[in-house]
Amino acid sequence: MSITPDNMHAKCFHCGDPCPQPAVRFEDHDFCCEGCKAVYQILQASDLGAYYDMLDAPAGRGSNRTAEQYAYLDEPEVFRQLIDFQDEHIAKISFELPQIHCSACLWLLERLPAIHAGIIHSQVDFLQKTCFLTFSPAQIKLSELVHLLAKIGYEPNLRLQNLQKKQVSGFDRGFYTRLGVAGFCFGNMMLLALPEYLSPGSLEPAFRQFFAYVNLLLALPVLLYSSSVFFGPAWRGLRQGMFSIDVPVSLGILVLFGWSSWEILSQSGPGYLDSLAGLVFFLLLGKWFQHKTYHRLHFDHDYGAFFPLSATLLEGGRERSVAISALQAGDRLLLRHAELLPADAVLQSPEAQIDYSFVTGESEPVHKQAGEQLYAGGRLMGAAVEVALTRAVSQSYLTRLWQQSVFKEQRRPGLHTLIDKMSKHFTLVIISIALLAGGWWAWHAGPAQAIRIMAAVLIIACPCGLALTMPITLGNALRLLAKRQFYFRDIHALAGVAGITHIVWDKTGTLTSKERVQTAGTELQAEAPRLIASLAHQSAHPVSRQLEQLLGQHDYLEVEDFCEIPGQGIAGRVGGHQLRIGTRQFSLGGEAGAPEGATCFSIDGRPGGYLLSEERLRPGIQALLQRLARRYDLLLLSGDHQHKGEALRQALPAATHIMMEQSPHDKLARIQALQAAGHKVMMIGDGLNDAGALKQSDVGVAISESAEGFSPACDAILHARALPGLDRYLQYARRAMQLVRTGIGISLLYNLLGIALAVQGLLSPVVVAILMPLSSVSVVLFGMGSTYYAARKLGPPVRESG
Amino acid sequence: MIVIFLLIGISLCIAGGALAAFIWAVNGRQYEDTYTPSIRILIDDSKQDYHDQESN
Repeated sequence: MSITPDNMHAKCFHCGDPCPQPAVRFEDHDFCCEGCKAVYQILQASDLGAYYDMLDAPAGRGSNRTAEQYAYLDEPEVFRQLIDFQDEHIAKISFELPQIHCSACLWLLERLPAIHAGIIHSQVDFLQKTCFLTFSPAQIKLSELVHLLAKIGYEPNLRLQNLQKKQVSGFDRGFYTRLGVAGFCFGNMMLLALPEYLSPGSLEPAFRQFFAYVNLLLALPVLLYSSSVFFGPAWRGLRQGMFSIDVPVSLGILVLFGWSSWEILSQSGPGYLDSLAGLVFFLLLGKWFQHKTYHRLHFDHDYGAFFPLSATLLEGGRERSVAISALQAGDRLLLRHAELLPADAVLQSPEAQIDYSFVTGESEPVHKQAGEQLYAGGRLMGAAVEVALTRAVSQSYLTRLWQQSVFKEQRRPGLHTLIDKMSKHFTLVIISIALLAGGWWAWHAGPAQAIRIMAAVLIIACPCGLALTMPITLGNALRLLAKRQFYFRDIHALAGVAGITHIVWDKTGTLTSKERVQTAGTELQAEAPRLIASLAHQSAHPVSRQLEQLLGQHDYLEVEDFCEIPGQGIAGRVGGHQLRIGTRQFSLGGEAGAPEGATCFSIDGRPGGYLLSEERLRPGIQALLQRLARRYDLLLLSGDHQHKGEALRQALPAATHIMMEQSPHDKLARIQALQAAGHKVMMIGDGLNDAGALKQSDVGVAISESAEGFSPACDAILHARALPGLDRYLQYARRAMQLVRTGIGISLLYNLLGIALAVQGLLSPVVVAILMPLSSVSVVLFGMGSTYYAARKLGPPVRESG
Repeated sequence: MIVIFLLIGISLCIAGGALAAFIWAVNGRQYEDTYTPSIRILIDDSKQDYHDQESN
């Protein structure tokens, strides 16, 4: 048991919070509540008490929800959509548990089978904060399982998106086996090809043939298994009339294999099979490097990641938890403090404070009265209210925002990348050169030699270096930027930055940081903070919550005659004093010098000071915008009221266009208009309402306070702390694209050299075996080295905390 | 020198074994979470072990 310095309050043995007087005592330990005691008892009963010895930060409090509140999980429809796998005996499910924070969590969660016999296996992925459970539905129902997790302080993060179709990772295990097979074959084929290179012609024919046949055997898995990564996309692209880089690569692979097997089977030469395997191996490495990105960051959040999975339905006066997918228009819901409204509804209770910051980014809660329309995505602040749904979840305003065409079409901004554009011309030029050279040799040396030359040209021109340049260069640039907390979805998103002409900002939360609360005015007397906190504690209004937090008081006095006048303030008698907290008019009668919009308090009729909440520009923003304005057209689209625009206009560079009172649709339309005029637009925003605009823009950047936190669908996530360096990062992204062009130049030089040799008939397997890896390796070295060198200007990488 | 046929056969079999081990590891999901095992290995097996170690 630990004692706080003032020896007044014991800390809870489980969660570490101060205990009330008297504390809940059990087995020599103090607990702050019955919930924490219950967790302790569960763990003790299962002999898992060592949990407390291992904890390095306070444990999460057990939830006091009842098993019935999870009953909706057992409905067959919900159950089927939630679980990952099921047969007659077992079911597998994975839960996101945001509470996982230390090794004790891991230890406890992986010992769940000791708590309940129905849980067969439990495995935690620490970085993804996910627990993979195998359980026996006959012994433990899903609702019981979730309830057990919630009871011990790990309530799963059940969101609507858990019900939606699970996305299959595009980068699967099959890729690694393909890479492994290609590497294995490449290494062995090199060994077998080496004697021929070292002493050409002097090898015993029996050995030469044996080596060649073994190589042919080893080349089969490379061609049939590993290379399918290129054949598939190339074929699909061709059928849609698109010429991706996979087309010339596939052509090269096929010609290499065809020609080599002809040489081996006709015993006219050793073939180029080792080069083929090396080529495929290097290309797969490049693909791997490109895809090895940050899988724990989420770039595809839509509203489903934010919406709860269940809501409290009122049926004939009884409360029942149901899955929100089952909600229909006309249903009556009970909404509690801090709960999200899942669908558009009409308020039934007399009044409510709704916080739409999650949807609009607008920070001030909206006051609503009975009969008023509420929109999905609003968060209730304060006492529980009753609402009647006017639409089902899928028909609501916020949901429909996602169903717009922007989200429907699979817009892949990177599909027409520089490399893909080049590969069409590249292939056509190579085929023409091959035909011309073939024609010339056919004229002079007959058709046999002509076919040899044509094959040689197609083999040496295989754009290995070309295919590697972009993944390696941009992949490394992406990694270096991520170390500075600017995370791109993939290299195509990074490539998109180079052409940007306009930057569109969303004001709320992007340029300004969260509101700060400041006390000013008369000094608070010794007793005053406690009096004010006690009164504020009675109210669920956000300002009261802010006030309480600011004052940092924990022991509250009893409040008499409490009353709350909506839109005005709160009043009551605390410790013999009459307290009023609220607008200037309400608390002081409007005479003191507090500024407009401040929250004032008075004690026994005398002014006690005031709180002023203000939005501040994030530090360094002004300088950043001035630097950016030199290169880009800056636009500010804000959902805020017109009157806030004036203050911004003074704070920002003169060239910034500021447009206030923009709805999500206005923002989207604005960006579409810019794009129609031929501009490339980067949108920087944060609210969910920006999702459409973020998706429509050529590069959508979400600002996030924490990289792992929620952010809407976007191409890149920028940590709020890294924002002042944005201009340098954008410059680096442009530089990276220049480096890609240089890399392409280098690889084309190699191709030119190779083709020059090939058309003269000087291409031998040794030359191919040297030239092809050399071009790949030099492109890789150039890409890696130059991006590291250019990153000097970026400043030091940021060490991630936690 | 005829033995070289045999030796190459043997070496390919051994290297093939390594490849099989790699494929087994990939299919066993060993590359999907490379961080958690580093924590798991530091946790002792039972409560008793843990207390023994602490008193040392």
